[in-house]
Amino acid sequence: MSPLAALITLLTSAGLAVVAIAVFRLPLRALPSALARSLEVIGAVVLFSAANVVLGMVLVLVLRRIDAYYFSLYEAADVAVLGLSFSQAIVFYAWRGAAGRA
Amino acid sequence: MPCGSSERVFAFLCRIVGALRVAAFLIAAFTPAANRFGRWMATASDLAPSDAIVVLGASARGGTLSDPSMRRAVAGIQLYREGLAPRIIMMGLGGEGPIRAKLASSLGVPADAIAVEDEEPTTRDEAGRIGQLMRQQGKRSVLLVTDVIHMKRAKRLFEQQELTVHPVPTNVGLLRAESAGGRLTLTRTLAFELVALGYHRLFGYLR
Repeated sequence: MSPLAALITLLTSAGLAVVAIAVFRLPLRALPSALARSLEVIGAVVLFSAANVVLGMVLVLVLRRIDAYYFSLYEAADVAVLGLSFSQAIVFYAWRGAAGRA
Repeated sequence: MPCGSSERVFAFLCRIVGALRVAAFLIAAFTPAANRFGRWMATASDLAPSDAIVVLGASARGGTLSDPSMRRAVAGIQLYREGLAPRIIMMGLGGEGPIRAKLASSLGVPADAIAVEDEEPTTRDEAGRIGQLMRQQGKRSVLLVTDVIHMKRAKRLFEQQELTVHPVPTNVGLLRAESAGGRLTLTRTLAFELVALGYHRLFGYLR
């Protein structure tokens, strides 16, 4: 197991909660709704990642047929795809928020 | 469906997927599930005298072998030096095959015992090429060297070429990952391999 990683995260989460309540005056009753919203963003990252990877795999398979250069299917699942999918989800949710619908 | 309604459905779907993702992350990182699944996916080593040692390609960039490539090459050279086969076939695109051949030569493998096959981009192509070579030479058995999680698919593809395959998996330490990071790496490797197995089944490459 990794007790150190869990302990560090618990400590910073507790510290953040103290700052949020004492300094930013965030109401504790809004926390469950914030957690649900966080799950939505994480879910959107997963869905956007899946769409990007599937589209990437289809493109690689098409390119393999029309080009002499070999493209690996692994390139479609590069770690950069996860980072870009994360950005897509953040922008999408910020857009919804800006439109007053998130 | 009205815009607001479809947005609510999307948000609900995202929430479910997000909850599953968080659960999957916690299970993968903080429980031994990945190690157990990895051991189930793994193929045990079966050292036996064979006609050839086949070292499958991984990758090389700028004249340098990647870590998996180096591990496989060294394992193949070790098998040769233990006298388990009279020749070693180094595979791999992008200069990988020749770099490995040079490494084998520098570690005492005679040049006439080393063959390079460096034009096959996929494991399936590598199996096809080796099957063809072995049939031409009237040989049948190989010591197959590749990563432990890749071995199940590779072994089946080589067996489909009517070869007797003795697997020699490398990087078996991956299955004993003790840190959360190590287990996440193992999970990612397993996920890639499951997708590859599914792809091979879907297109009928694995019988």
